Amino acid sequence: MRRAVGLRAVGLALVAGAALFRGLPARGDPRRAPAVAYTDVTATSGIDFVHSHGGTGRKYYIETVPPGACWLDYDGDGWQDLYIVQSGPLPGTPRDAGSPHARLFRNRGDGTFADVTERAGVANAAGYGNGCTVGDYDNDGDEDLYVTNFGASVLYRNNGDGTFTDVAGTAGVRNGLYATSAAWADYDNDGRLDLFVANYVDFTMDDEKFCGNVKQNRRSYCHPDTYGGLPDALFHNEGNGRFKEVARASGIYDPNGKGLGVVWLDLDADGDVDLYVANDATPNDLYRNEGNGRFTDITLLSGACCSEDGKPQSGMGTDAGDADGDGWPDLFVTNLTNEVNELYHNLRGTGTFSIDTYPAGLGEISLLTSGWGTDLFDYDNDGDLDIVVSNGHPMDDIQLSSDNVTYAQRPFLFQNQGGGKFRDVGQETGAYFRAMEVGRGLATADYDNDGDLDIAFTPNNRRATLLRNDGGNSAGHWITLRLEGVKCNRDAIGARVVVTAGGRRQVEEVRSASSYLSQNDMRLHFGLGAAAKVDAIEIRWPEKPKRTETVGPIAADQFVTIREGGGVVARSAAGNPAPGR
Amino acid sequence: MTPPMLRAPSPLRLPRLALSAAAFATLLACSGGPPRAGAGAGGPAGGARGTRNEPADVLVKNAEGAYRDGDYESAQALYEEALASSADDPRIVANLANCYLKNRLVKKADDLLTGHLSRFPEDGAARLVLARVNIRQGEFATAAEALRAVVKRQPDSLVARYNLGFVAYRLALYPEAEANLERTIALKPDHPEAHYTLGLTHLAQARYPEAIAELERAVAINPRHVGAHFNLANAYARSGKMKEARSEQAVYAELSGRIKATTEREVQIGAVSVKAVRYKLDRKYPEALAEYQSLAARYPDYAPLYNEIGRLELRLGRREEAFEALKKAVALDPKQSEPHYLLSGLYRERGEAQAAEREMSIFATLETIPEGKSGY
Repeated sequence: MRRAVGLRAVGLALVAGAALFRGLPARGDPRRAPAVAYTDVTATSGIDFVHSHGGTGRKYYIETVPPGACWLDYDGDGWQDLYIVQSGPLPGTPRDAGSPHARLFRNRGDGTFADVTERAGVANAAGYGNGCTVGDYDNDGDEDLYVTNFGASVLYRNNGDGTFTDVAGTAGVRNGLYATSAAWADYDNDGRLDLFVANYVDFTMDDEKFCGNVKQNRRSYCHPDTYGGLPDALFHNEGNGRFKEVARASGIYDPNGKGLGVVWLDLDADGDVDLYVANDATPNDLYRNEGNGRFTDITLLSGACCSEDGKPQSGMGTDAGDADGDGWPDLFVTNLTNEVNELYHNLRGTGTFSIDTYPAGLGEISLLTSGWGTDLFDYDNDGDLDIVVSNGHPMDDIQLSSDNVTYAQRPFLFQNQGGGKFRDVGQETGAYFRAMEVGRGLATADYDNDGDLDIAFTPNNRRATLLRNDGGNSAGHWITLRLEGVKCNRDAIGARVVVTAGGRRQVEEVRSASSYLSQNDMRLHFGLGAAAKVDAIEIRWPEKPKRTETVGPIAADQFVTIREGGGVVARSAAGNPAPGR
Repeated sequence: MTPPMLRAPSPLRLPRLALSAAAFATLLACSGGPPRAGAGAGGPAGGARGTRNEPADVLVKNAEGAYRDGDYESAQALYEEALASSADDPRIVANLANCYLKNRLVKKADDLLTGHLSRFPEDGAARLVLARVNIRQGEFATAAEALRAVVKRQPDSLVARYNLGFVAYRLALYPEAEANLERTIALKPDHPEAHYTLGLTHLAQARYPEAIAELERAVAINPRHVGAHFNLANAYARSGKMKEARSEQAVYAELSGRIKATTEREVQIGAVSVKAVRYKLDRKYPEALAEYQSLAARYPDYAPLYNEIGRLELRLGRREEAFEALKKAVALDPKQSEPHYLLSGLYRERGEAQAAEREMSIFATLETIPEGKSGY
């Protein structure tokens, strides 16, 4: 049942062929106008997920935060599956079999998905869910799933047979606080994935604080300043199925932080992952990995903590990527209304950043919006990173106190114009980018294995949406890499990959979660523009001592699996299952 | 038809400590001037504010009083009423637009000013407020156009020059930013925001020595300038001066930490003050006073509570108690502007003109117009 994909591929091939016939510029030629469209395929895909925050009108703070989603190939069949986190009913409210719960959608490979939640056992039915992250923490070759909750969180260990078992208790990663984003990475390069969990605020359900318009007796959601922050958690993988909480001991400690977004990145290219946390109304945190199991807090000197005026902002989601093509990962943070989404430009790994938001064209446009999920990704395969942002205000009654801010807001798709400049092209690419939405999580993936990146949006208290990228794979060549660690962690999370093609070098890192409460397709997707082949792929594996491996040249437009020390071990063309596990 | 020149509206990005007496005059565009013997300090409890069919000048006076008391909704209603009987009165237009901004009715402010300026394109004050509206809307290029128009007519307008410099910086029009900020500094050498923004302009162009010099000037003028310390630390770090960077980082951390902690505390105490607010709304002033006194017992070092107590004592006509509460408020936190203002009125009632003037001067220095909480 791959007909849908196949037909579409044929259609696109005809379009491309027609273009060539008419003498139009070839794929990747900059003269060729980008013809990428995002098509809403939610209805036909079978992703019929509706988030419920469980609100009853009392405006509990936790209602505004979720949900996120994670792409993962849970059954190793070469197709990306989708897990979407559910929240409601509110804690303390009775739940039954009919209550909304998280859902796992198995990708059938024909453009449709099947709900396999019950069989997989990943409903998180007792939890008020927020986010998720995926990683093979036990190096057994299948993806495990961590789900963050308000209260005890859940670690679903993949049993390798399509089912999962919650082992959070025995593993020691329940956390028990108000967890939001979480992300796997092997921070000490010992070959095992560790887990960072961002904790948010000290809100409790019996909180009697009133926020809103007293005069009109109108209750609204509170500002995060109303609550105290919480320290985040770093769980070190002890290698026996157990974890040890080491945040403070390792130097990761911000007791007042209100963590919402997280991304691991190697900001100084020294071979170990550093950590960036987006905090809500408190300064963001940047911890530099010293390579000895300890981190140094370089937040304030880095310049990446705050607004340009040194004020903490409402950090929601975050991602890292080389936005300007200089080989160093920059940081992007989404913030709320009357702030701007910040682009922190990495000053060549020195641990300092300049704030390039306004010169990049990302400032004014985000002044009245509230950004959440985000990804730096190459949607048009032209070889540079674009940015997608989901928007929506946290307060559902914001229009009562402001006449130029709305609750639902239009998402952004910023196309990289080169030279460090971006332009919002969302409205030109599809109806979803013209519509108003209460955005929260988002995650990108090439779910149909056709060589371009699709997007799942998970709005708050609304229906999730799946957008299929149509035309990205004809706009430019591409290559997608799956790395398989042998000595390093199996997912090779933390690996740094330099792809050289057509005279251009692109740098990406294998990551677990980023964005907001969400995780993208872990495979590395590189747009190659007009380059029909990759000259070289240089991989620095995340391990001690550092080891670099180079493969290539290799043809573009295929999925490639590279095993640590073994070079290319599998490959497949577009439209087929990517090389699995 | 050219409207009479107004006092300029509120500056777009007012430095908290740098507001001169002259700049204070601009703020009073919406407040109408010195303390009144009305609803603010020393006036009758619950003084009438919005009686219908009043002459425009009475409405304006009441509106100014409401604005000064922080009752922006009433001020807005009164200005709207005044405007109905004095259409296109430039002072009312600018002040009403300011009220709209305070009430986060940005589009309304935009509509009002745009309509007015189509009839009175020479009204520089309205154009300045419109620039402020544009900035709030994220329309920096439009704001720059408005400000350029004002600068063309009033080359020495401090407010226009500074804000044009700021907006040009935002638009990455660095030469224009530098020209206007340098002109601002020439007009007012101790303008910390101009030095600060000029420092940012240099920083954006990786001119670290120049950036450091300007940012150092900004913190010399205003040692509590959080943004200047923050960027100075970053500029030092970028130019490899790590010792200086760490020193600035420490100053920034202390300042920002203190400010942030204060903000959080304010919100948290505000959230438990709901009962008192309800009493006030119901005009149950004795009950509200008791509630605030109870909160003050729980948070004895939190100055705004004493300001509330002072205001309520005034409402109840107990001037001596009000006087003591307000003195306590300024003793706990001299940076609270409102108790200085209220104390000024009380000193004047007592015939202590010098003290009244001093308090008013402090108020003028401290007063600013916050425009909504970060992120909301």
